[in-house]
Amino acid sequence: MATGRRYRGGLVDLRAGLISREIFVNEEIYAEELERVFTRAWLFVGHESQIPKPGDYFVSCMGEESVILCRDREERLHVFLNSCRHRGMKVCRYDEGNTPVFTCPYHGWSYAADGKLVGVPFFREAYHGKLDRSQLGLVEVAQLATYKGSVWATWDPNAPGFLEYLGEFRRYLDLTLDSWDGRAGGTEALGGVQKWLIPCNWKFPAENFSGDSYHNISHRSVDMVGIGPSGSGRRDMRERFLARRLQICFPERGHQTGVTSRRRLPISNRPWCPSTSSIARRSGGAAGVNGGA
Amino acid sequence: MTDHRDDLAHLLLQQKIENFLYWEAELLDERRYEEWLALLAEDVRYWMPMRRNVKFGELEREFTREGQDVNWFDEGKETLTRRVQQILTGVHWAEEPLSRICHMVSNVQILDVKPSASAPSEVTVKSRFLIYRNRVETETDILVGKREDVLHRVDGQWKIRRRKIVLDQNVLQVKNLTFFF
Repeated sequence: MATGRRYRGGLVDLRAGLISREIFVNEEIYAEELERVFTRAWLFVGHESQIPKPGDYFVSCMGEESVILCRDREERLHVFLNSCRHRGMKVCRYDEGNTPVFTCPYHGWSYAADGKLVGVPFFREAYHGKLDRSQLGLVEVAQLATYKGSVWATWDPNAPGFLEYLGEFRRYLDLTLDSWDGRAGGTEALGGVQKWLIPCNWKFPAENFSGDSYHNISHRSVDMVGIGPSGSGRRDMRERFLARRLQICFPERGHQTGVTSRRRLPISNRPWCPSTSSIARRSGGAAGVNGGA
Repeated sequence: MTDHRDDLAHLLLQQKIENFLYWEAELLDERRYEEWLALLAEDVRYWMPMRRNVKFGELEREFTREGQDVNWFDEGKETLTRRVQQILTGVHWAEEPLSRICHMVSNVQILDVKPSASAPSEVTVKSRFLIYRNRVETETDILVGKREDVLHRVDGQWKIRRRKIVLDQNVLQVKNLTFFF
């Protein structure tokens, strides 16, 4: 584990708006981010509509950790580390489903959907009946929050509440989670999750989606043939031509997004901050959400 | 005599269908995309579901559903045509410079033929694919799976009317899907 902060010197020059490319490739920085960012930030885990019934589960991840999002018999939501308390084996190797218990394939410890350890084979013979099973439930996230169907979690008991953490960014998350006709909420998850690996640092997508609005040239071929998400041309093409794109950052929590507006907005290549508090207070927050239309 | 004639018809059909699939692979690998598009019926359905890890006994939930769930591909000729056009812009950076691709097609099994092998107008054929793809300097992908095609004969020409592609992967092991199966 990196102890020193020697790599910090001069990597980020807030005054000039410059970052060193070292932050994208340094393994020590990444290891420290896993410990200090991904264990503390509120992270998106899934959507309530993926687990509508008691016993439903959906396996997701937080940082590099596999986690189980599930609904217990009392219909309460939980997010657990997908790791047996005995030897650390994954207790669930499926993507989703419905189950009364998660049974570890190694020694058969089983856990109910509320995380309680409910079964230990050979309890007397192998463990001399001495395990305190009440203390060996699945490791649960410190805090869980749902917001308009979306499910979020953090490992940090001292993290601010989810809405406080969101701060002013909430209205941009609403752009994603509210209905197109303006009604609040109403999103649901379709079946199937496209999963693939992009061999790059996690900060590249965040930077690409919310910090860089002028790379359209790299996917110009998409626009040239009109092969947007609908398959027959980008539905937002007209808006894009009319629009001004705006980069927005929220210094207090480190959130950032890009939005498209029909109104001409005073923009430059520098992000727009809704408040003028010091950018220097910005710490490693969650990845930017691409809230653009 | 009838049995012999029937066997012969099946043999000839097997040969013709195999040749068709090999010719299709040839067109793709030689980057003759527009000629490849001409092998697709106007109402072609090109579907590649995703495969979930599911519990034994719940295998009916393994595949995402056509037209209802999110899939790797679930598209018709218009989108396929645009994907070809996109490659032909010369600025489709996932395929520029063009990948070097080799489609190996094998295990060709005719599952159904209508109305008969001697006068076929529709064939359901299953095959295996092994696609080798190499691009730029050292990027190499190998994709293996199955295809189930419905071929129709239109004016003496076989056309692909439906293709189901089953890739034997859960998390996609390539960074894009800008080529054709």
